[in-house]
This record gives sequence, C-alpha cells and structure tokens, in this order.
Amino acid sequence: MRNRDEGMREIQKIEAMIYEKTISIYKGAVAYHPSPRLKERVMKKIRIKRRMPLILAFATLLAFFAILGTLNFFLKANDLDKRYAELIERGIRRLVETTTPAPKPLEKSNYLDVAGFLSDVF
Amino acid sequence: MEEPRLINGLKHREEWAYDEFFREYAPKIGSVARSYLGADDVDDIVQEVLIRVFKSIRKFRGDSKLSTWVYRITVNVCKTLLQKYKRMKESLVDFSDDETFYYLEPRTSVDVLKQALDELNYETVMKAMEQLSPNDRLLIKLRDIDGLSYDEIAEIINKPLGTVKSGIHNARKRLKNLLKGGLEDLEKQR
Repeated sequence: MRNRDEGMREIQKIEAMIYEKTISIYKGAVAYHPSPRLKERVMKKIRIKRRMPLILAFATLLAFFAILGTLNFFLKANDLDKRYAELIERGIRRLVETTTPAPKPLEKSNYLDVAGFLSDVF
Repeated sequence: MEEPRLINGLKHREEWAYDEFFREYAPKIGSVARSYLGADDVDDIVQEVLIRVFKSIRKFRGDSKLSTWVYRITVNVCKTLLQKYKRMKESLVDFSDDETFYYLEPRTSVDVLKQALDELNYETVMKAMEQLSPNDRLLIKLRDIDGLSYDEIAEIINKPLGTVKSGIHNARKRLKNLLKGGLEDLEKQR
C-alpha cells in the first residue's frame, strides 16, 4: 500500500514536470519581440490621429472660404449684368418715349437782347 | 514605472509615455495574440491594439489594472479577427465545441513517463497546442505563462470566476491528453 502511494506520487511528480516543461517550451514559442519598424508605424498613425482635428478644422475653414468666394463671385457677376441690362433698357425706353422738339431758329430781336444782357453783365 | 504616472502620461499624449507603454506592453500583446490565434505574424494585431489603447485611454477609469484592460482589448481584437477568419473559411479551426477529448487514462508507469519527459520537444508541444481551442490556449497562456489571477482572467475574458476555474482545469487536462497522445505516436513511429 505504501509502495503504491509512493509510486502514485512519483507519477504525479513526473506528470507535473512534463506539464512544466511543456509550458516552458510554449512560452518560448509564443514570445514576441516587436520590431522598431512596428513602433515607427504605430507612432506615425498616432501622430496623424492626434493632428486630425487640426487638419480637419483647417480643411473645413478652407472649404468654407472657397465656397464663400465662389458664391460671391457668381452673385456679383450676375448682379452687375443685371444692373447693366437695366440701365441700357432704361436708356432705350427714355429715347423711345421722349420726343425731342426740333430746335427753333433764333429771332433777331432775341439775339440782340442776349448780346445786350451779356455786355451789361461783363 | 508607476502605473498611474504612465496612465496620466498616456492621457496627456506624452511621447515618453507612448515609448514606455510600447516597450512594456507590445511584447505581452503580441504573445497573447500569437497564443490565441496560433499565428506567427501578429504585427498588425499589435498595431491595432496599441492604437485602440491610445485612442481610448481617456475613457480608462482605473477600475482595473492597466494590464487587465490591455489584455481585454487584445482578446477582443483577436476574437473579432478569428471570427473574420472563420467567415472567410480560412484554416484556423476552433475546437471549443468539440467534446471528443479524451480524459486522463489510468496512470502510466514511472519509466514510460520519465522517457516521455526526456522526449518532450518543441514539435510535440506545438502539435498539442495547435489542437487545443483558442480559448484553451488563451486560458493556459494567461494563467500558466503570464501568471494572472483567476479574477483578472475572469475580467479579461468577461466570464464568471467559476467558469474560468473549470475552464483552466479542463484546458490543462486536454493539453495533458494531447501530449500523451503525441508522445504515444512518437513511440509508435519507432
């Protein structure tokens, strides 16, 4: 009985040693040593992500001004065209509507009156 | 390095904190990923985990240890990737639902075991580990290699403590059986 117990203990001990050795081999197999390149890659991504809000804000601002400028240009251009068109139309209308009377020839007496007035003044 | 100082540095996006974190945690993350996925090239996974950590460190309240939180993110990233692999029908196989494992046979004689101990090598171990499920490998890695407590493991894998304890017990048992099978195969080949 005593020998049997000792035998069992010995078996358990060896089994534990087998398991320990297995774990030790496996530990070596799954050990991981990151490369410096991986670190560079990660840091690069992190830096881009860190700057992303700033980049986005700048890009949004740029886009906003670009849209504003474009709109302004087109609106102004349309407005000027409209104003030119209105002026031209108004001018034509006035020319058409107003009948200018033919100039009357000056009478002799009137001519002398004007000459007398001018000589009085100057 | 004091953990609160490191966390504070990360929250304030200090360059030295990123360096320190990378130096201390990248090997742990890579090792867990290698163990869980059974893959050698885990650079992309490590990168993904590190970026997630740096991105969400402000949300870390310090309820658990930083390492527990990082392990948890790592396991989640690995699980997502494994699901993706499965969907793509790639060669990674999960044995977690396979109930056809053998349990420990009646004790082998001392001499046979001693011989087995001497013959145990890299190939036999890796063959046995490959046959384990990713979850079993993860449990063995966290408990027997990284030496985490049952509580920490429960928090990492988001399972009750009892489930974790029985999970680890069963994983070890399955590994022992697989090793035994592997050693017997070696014996037959001679």
